[in-house]
Amino acid sequence: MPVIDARDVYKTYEGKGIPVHAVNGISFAVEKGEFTAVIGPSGCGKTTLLNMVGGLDSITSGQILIGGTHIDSMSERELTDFRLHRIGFVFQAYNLIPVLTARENVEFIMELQGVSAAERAERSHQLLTDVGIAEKADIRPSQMSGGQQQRVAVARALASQPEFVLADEPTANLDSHSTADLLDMMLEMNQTSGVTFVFATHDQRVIDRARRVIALDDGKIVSDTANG
Amino acid sequence: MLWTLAWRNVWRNRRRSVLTLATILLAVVLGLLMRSMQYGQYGAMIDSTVARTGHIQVHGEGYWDNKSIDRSISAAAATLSEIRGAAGVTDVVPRFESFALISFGDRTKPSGVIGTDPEVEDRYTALANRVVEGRYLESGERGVMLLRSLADYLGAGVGDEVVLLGGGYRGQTAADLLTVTAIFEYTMMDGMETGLAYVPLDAARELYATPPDQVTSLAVMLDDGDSIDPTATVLAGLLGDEYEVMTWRETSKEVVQQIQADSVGGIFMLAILYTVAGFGLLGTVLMSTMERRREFGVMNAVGLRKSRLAAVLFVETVLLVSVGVLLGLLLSVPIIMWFHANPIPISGELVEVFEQFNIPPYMPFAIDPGIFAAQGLVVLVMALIVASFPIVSIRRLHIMRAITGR
Amino acid sequence: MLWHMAWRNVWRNRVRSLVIATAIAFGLVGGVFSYAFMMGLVNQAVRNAVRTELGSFQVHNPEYPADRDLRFMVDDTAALLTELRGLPGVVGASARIVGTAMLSSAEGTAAVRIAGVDAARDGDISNLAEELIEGQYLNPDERIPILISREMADDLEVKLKSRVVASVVSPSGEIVYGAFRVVGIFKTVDSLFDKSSVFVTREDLAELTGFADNTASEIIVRVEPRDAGDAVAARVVAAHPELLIRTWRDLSPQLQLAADFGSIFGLVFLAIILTALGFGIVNTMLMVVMERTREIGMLMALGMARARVFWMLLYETAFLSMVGGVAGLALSFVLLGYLGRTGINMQAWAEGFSAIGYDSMIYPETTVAFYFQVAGMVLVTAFLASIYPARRALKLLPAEAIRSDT
Repeated sequence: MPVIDARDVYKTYEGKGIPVHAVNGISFAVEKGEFTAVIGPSGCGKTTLLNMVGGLDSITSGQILIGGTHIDSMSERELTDFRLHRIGFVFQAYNLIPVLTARENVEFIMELQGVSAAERAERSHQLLTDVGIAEKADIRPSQMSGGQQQRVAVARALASQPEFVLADEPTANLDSHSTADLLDMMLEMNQTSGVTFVFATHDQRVIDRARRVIALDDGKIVSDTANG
Repeated sequence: MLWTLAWRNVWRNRRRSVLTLATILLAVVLGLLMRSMQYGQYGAMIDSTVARTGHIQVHGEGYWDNKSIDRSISAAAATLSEIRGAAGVTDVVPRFESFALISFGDRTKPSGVIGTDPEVEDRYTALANRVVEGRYLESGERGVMLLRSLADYLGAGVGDEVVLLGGGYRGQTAADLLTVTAIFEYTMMDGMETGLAYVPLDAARELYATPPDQVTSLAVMLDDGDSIDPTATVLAGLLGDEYEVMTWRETSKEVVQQIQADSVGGIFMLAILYTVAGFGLLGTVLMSTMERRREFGVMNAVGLRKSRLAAVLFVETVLLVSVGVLLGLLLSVPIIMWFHANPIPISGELVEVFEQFNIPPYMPFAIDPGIFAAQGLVVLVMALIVASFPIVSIRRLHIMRAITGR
Repeated sequence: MLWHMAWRNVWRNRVRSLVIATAIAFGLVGGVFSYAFMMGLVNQAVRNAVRTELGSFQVHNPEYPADRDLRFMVDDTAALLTELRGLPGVVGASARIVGTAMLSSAEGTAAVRIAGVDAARDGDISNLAEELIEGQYLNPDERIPILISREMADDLEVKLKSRVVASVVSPSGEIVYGAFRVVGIFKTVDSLFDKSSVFVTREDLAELTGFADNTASEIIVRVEPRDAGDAVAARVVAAHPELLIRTWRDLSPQLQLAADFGSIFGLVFLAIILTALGFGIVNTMLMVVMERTREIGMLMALGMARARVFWMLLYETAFLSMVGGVAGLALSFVLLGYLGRTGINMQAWAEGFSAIGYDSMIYPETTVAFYFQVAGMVLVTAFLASIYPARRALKLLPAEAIRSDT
């Protein structure tokens, strides 16, 4: 069963009487363990598509199944709960809650899920170690570099043991050194633990590491290739 | 964790929170101090009124509308003990009040005459304190105490004999000769056309030729100012139709209204102050909410339900207000308690104004739950109204627009 | 240029600016209204007292005031009246015979101040004729007319055309009795005045008491505008050291006190509101400065002197405050314009107000000058509030500021 199964998905806006299809009948699937980049010029619809796939936006028509579950007709509250338990997010910036430490940010998700305190402590420690930032566990985001903040964001995304992690331009604010470090870390997680990553990106460094590249234009997939 | 989140968020921008607290603090402290002073004054006004009229007054039927001594009533021992026996009654002050022309030599002035039991009268109205010359009245003696302005006009002094002339009981003439035992001060009466004289109760009855034991009013003192109405009803039932029973609120209606009007004015001003503070709070909360839009978007995205997020924001506002209120209480309560025990003395021209209302010239501070009640409510309402703004904002939150900053 | 920038900057964050502006507007409306209400209350009391009872100032024999004894007269009144009427600003001067009396009817007796007035000229100094609710004013052609108040009529159980008897102590010391017929009943807002004042013609009272022509107990003088009264009184004092001249302030110190107290209290309240608002303004401007750290640093790097940055921020604060200030004052103006005409009905507390000499219909009032005063106060508040944020802005060194993450 694919992790992401999008079938004939449309996202339509009413623009001055003429309907505009931001996403124009896209179908694709992502399997477990993929490291996939979705690319395309501005306005191609990749953000819109991935928003829908991530359960962040509603669908005009079509179906989207995440891990076999339909999310296309869920209510707002159901989607929120779904995201909590089944999808991980890493955004370009402002990922973390500024008043919580790194550890607390990771545990936040788990507490919302109802995980016990003991288990939270254990898992947050493990995750922070995995992303290589254990020593900064009790520090607030404002005292970390951009790269370090994004690492914590990854740890947080994994805290819910999601079907996949949706990373929206995660490297856009980072310098090349931090970018490389971050991406290598994510690639390793993917290869050793089998975490599924889907990126929306312009960054060539991401594309270079991706094993599958889906290109969008004008709301449609124009190419879907495997990378070496 | 959500509580931790809320608390930490309150202090996120320390300067801003402190300044907002300052406005709330100002409103709370001023509000409490002002209300305490107001209640203190009302208490003093009521005390002085009640000291004179009693919590409850008993007259003859129809006396209040037509104060003729023909409507006087019997204060026989039986009646008195019946009244005293009612629950909550601590004392009964009998008085016989009327008018007379008082003359000395070739001078005459109309004057109110109050026949009273000197000892009981002093107990409640501190009449003996007002004596400036001579000695206070004694029960049963044929003496009279004159108001200073009356004595000056007549040219009479302690030891002189003055003539009292007036309308007596059932059409008889009231006439008598009494010795001045004392002269007393009562500045409130200085501007008035009539003088004032006190005589012992029996001397009054003799003067006006009434049957023994007659009084024009009985001032009933209670131990608990809160049980006035039920006790009045009891007494009315006990005494029957020849008597009328009135509470001080009925006999001194204007005092009640003055207090009410003043209180309303005070509340009005408090409302303005709290609304200003509320706006200050609103500004802070709105700004804080707007600044954190992205953060909210991300939190909702990763799975925090909007309802819980809204709850966090709500709690933040409530916490901020609570801290302000607490600090306000911490500041005001000791001040109020200090001034409650040590009222501020009044000096200068204000003393006259106070005496006009027969209140001791101090600025009293009251400790009364009522002070806190109204304001607590206002603060709560204010907090709730302001806290509802971010909640509305969250409802309208669109994740992706928030995150991308559009 | 600076002004222009400052003005534009105010509107960069519309919501925030509107919140604080609304707070200021609201606070001002509340504060100005309270002040105007108090002034309306107090001015009305003064106006009534002066117009109906006291006049701008009164002339007596120096020994008169203590007991209102008719013995102490003002001689040569005709000449005096002519002189007084000739003074600038004086719109009326009239002589009266005023003494203490006992007024009796079949049902009751009351101690009163009886005034024998010049029916033709008394209207210049007192508007008693306008306060009549029944009957008509004194008419010398009528036989022994008397005007009494509604309250007195009820107490004595008399009505129009009833007969009452006044007993007065004449200048020679004997008690004389005179009968009068009630021709008019009046009611003023001051129940104390009503309770004790009755009016007859000068001729009748002079005949009764044996007053010679060309003598009087008092002369009442009215000056317009009211504030000019003190100056005129001072002239008379200088011209006639043998007479006792007292202005309404001397005659009613409580009224004077109330007037002073009222305006001070109103201003204090306004100041408190502005302080609370001040905190809000500081908060707002701090946010502004923090947000624009980079921009300010850049301006300084480009060569804008610190002093100019300071002034720009000051202007911004001033503009922000004046948006709310002007709105608030405009709103107040409209509100008070309306309420000043229709009045505020304090009917529920009518008796309480009346007992202390106020009408239950209050017309709030302010002067145009006052609005400017308040505008000035707002600007001062803005200036003070801008100091802290502006100082913070200036502490930034340009390079630091640009590097900072805004």
